[in-house]
Amino acid sequence: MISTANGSYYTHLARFSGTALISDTEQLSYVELEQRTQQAGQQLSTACKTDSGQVALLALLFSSTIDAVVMYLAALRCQVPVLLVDPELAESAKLHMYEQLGVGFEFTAGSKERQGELKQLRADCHGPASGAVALMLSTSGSSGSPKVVMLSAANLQSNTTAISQYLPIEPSDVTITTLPLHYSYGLSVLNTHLAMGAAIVLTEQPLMSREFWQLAHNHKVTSLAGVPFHYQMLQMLRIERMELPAMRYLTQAGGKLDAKTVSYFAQLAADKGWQFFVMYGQTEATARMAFVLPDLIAKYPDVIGQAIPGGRFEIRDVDTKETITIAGQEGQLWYFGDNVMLGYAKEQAHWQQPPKPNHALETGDLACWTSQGLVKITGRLSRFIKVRGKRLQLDHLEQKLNEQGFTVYCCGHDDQLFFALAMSDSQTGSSQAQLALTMVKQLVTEELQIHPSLWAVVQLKEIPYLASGKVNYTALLARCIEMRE
Amino acid sequence: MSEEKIKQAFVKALAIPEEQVKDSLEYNSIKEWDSTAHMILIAELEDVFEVMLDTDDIIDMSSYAKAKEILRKYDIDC
Repeated sequence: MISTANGSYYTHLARFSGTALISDTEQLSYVELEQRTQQAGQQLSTACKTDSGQVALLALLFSSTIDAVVMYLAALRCQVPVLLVDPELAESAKLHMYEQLGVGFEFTAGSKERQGELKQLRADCHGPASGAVALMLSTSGSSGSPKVVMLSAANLQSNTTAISQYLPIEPSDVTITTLPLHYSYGLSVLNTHLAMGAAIVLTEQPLMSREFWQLAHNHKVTSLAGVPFHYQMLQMLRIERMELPAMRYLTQAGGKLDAKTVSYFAQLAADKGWQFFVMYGQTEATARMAFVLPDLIAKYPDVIGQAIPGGRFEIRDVDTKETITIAGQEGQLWYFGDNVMLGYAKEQAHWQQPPKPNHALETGDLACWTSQGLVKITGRLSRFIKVRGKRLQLDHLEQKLNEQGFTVYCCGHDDQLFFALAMSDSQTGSSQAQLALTMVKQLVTEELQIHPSLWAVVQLKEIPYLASGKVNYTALLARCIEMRE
Repeated sequence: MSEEKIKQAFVKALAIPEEQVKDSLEYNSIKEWDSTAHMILIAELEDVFEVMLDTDDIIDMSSYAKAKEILRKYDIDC
């Protein structure tokens, strides 16, 4: 059990004297945030908890607004389990998830037009629960396969503390929401700033907008957090020429940033007197697992660094499962720490009675030790890739296309998805080939909404196979890349 | 024809039919013109016209009409 006497990022907020939250319309001090959280907590407890100790699950549409942050804090404080939801999630996918998990209430933050609303979705939604699950996050996924990660209060507290130990967050700092708060990385930025008594500018303006930079300038923002895509945008915006006198450090996570771009930002940080933190994590580990000390990044732009305080890595041989200690030898990366999730929730019973924490996480990433004792990611064991932050399970995509009568193989790496069609020369350009192309295109653009520059259809005379008879995806990917060039 | 080149850059970056590229077309008003497409659009325009756009111009390029207005500052006749 963690102590909630003080020090937790969602209790006793009035111990800080400064500004907590800044939105388009108002600013809230920590004292005011404490009052608002208490009020929201009363409303929430009345709705979601019964006298006999039963609870209902709350779904929070987590927009970057004061209302939503207050409700988030209230839920944690009152121990009402809360599922954080992307407000832009398609209605059908949302309802499907609510149905599966037995969501009882939904909170929508207020806007200029209307007040915030706590709505009961169905009758008899209260039930017994162990209380171990504090929060659930949905990993964005290909349709039909969103995974819901269950986190305990101890998970959240442990990761928040660890991050606050290695990032130079100070009470006088001001950050701004570049990432959605229902996303584990965005949420960790909020949590750590609340833990340190720093301020957060809440906005949904995109990084590539005048309004965003106006806010950053007006509120003297001291740090920025971004996924690889944000760093490409910052480069395009020529961040080196911007007037950002208050800026102190940048953080990067959410996928591998190529070494060239890492080096660019390492140099920029050195020139400007900023610090640049390259980090690694997964929602399954609450958010963060590793970081690179800013002093090392210029020299080692292709590593994920060391485990966060309190965490530990092991690299294990994929076949024998034996622990690897020799530098350069590839194996699966395992992480151990108090921030490892309780498991995935697929139904109501899972969050009501979750398994005991086991503190070990199989990351699905392939990695090796460097001779300096740092960790370097070398590939991915599982067939997951991330395209602009969207997690795609390649086997699901394949299955979906194959269900419609086409044999298409999917492969790729982050931000590059390939659909390989097996086709002889005589078939190329046939109506069958055209039909397959149309189908893939429809799936990718309509359903997954992935930009055309991020995927390609490749026609191959034959598909490479392993001796076991399984598709050799490594060879397939290499061939797709070759064909494309 | 510079205007035609701008139009084609929009078609390519936003992956939309040419008929949709009108003066009234605005950033974030259609799902195709999101941050990803915006970045690809800027790269495409810089490439086609061999210019380096200023930060202010990149974040001000909020519509097709505005894009043409901005590119005129770089001596592009459109």
